[in-house]
Amino acid sequence: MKLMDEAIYDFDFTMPRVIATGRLVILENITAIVMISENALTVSSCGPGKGRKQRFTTVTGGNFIIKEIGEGRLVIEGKIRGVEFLQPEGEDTD
Amino acid sequence: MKEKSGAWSFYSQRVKIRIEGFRLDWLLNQANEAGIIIRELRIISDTEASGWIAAADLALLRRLAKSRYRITVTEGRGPEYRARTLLKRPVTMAGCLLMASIVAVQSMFIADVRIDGYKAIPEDSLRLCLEEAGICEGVFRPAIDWEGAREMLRETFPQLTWIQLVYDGRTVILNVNETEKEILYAADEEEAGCISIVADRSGYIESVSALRGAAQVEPGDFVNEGDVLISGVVPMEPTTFQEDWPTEYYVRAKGEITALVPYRLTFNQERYTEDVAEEGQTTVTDRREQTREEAEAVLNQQIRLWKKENLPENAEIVNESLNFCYKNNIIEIGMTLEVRQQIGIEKEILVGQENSDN
Repeated sequence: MKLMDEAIYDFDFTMPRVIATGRLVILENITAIVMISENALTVSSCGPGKGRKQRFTTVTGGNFIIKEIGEGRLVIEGKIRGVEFLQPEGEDTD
Repeated sequence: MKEKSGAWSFYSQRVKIRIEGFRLDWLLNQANEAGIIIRELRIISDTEASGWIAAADLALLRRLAKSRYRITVTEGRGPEYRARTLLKRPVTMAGCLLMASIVAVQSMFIADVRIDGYKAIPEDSLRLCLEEAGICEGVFRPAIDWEGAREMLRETFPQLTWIQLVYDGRTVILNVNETEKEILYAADEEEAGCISIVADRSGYIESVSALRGAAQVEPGDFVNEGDVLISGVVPMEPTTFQEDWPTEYYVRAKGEITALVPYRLTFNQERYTEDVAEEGQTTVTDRREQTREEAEAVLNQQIRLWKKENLPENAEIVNESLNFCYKNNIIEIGMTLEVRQQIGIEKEILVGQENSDN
């Protein structure tokens, strides 16, 4: 990756950013929790552009412990099965 | 104005809550917007979660939740919560208070005395001086007269040029610094010199009080005339690593030595006495042997005279034994006296180098 691209991605606060390890997922640039259930947790984040359309990120698994919420950041610990990015129909896929 | 840190509030007093209701995400979003920090939020089921929040934020969270959610406090942490829990357990509280009071009281007693910086003065002497000043292990610290102790150290050891007597917790620290010059004590400058105290009589030592110099004898020792009792040459035990440090220093010895000195005396008296009686115009002389009482009365006079001539004023006769021996015309009285008196005279020591050309 070029240095300029790396810098752009680092300072982009509109796209959801996910750091995932075996038992920990850190979601950044989120605006709200959309849904919480026993097996999945979905958060929303604003998309780029004038319309600022919402994008959704879903973490699936179980035994979730939300270690930290705040300042656009969510730290989840537990059994992680997958991370899924969703967006409303009719929009381009990133 | 700087806002109060939410994290600090969280750690000062926090509670564990259980949230029950539908759409937990809505409440979490509301709480996030309101600045309520929720930590360790465990998702138990779709309608139930538990987590930790600051106790101060509980009321606000309940206001946000309204009647849509049920919020139950299950546990608490923090000093206030601990204190409340403790107050509910009087025996535990009494134990804690007892422990705290024991620690507090213990901290008022001296546990250790640390001495440093001495060179010629032995550590034992400094420690003994401190003990006499009321500073030793186990002493109640507020009762110590620090200035008095410093004064006593200065008086006892004039060679100390600097004294630091402080305490740190339960430890008393004495740091001293000694002069590096030869120490010669004198009543006036002209009398400066090294002097030892030697015995002027033979006897058994009863007590030794060395004010200056190194005592060479102990109570119970027998000393002959001329023996050194208090030496003006004091050995040094340097605690530093200086190579050219002297091994001894010289003082004008001073002190009091009391000894029991035996005296063997022999007194002679006339064995016979004459009683003169006048009968009318005739003088009758009756010659008879002295009685024991008469002999002892004369003897007492002789002893008093001898004591006046030979013993110092403060001498005290402790014990005496008499042996009467009748020989022809005389009575020979052998006498052994045990006299308590101070012995010791000053004797100057010439200090110089051995094999010196000068």
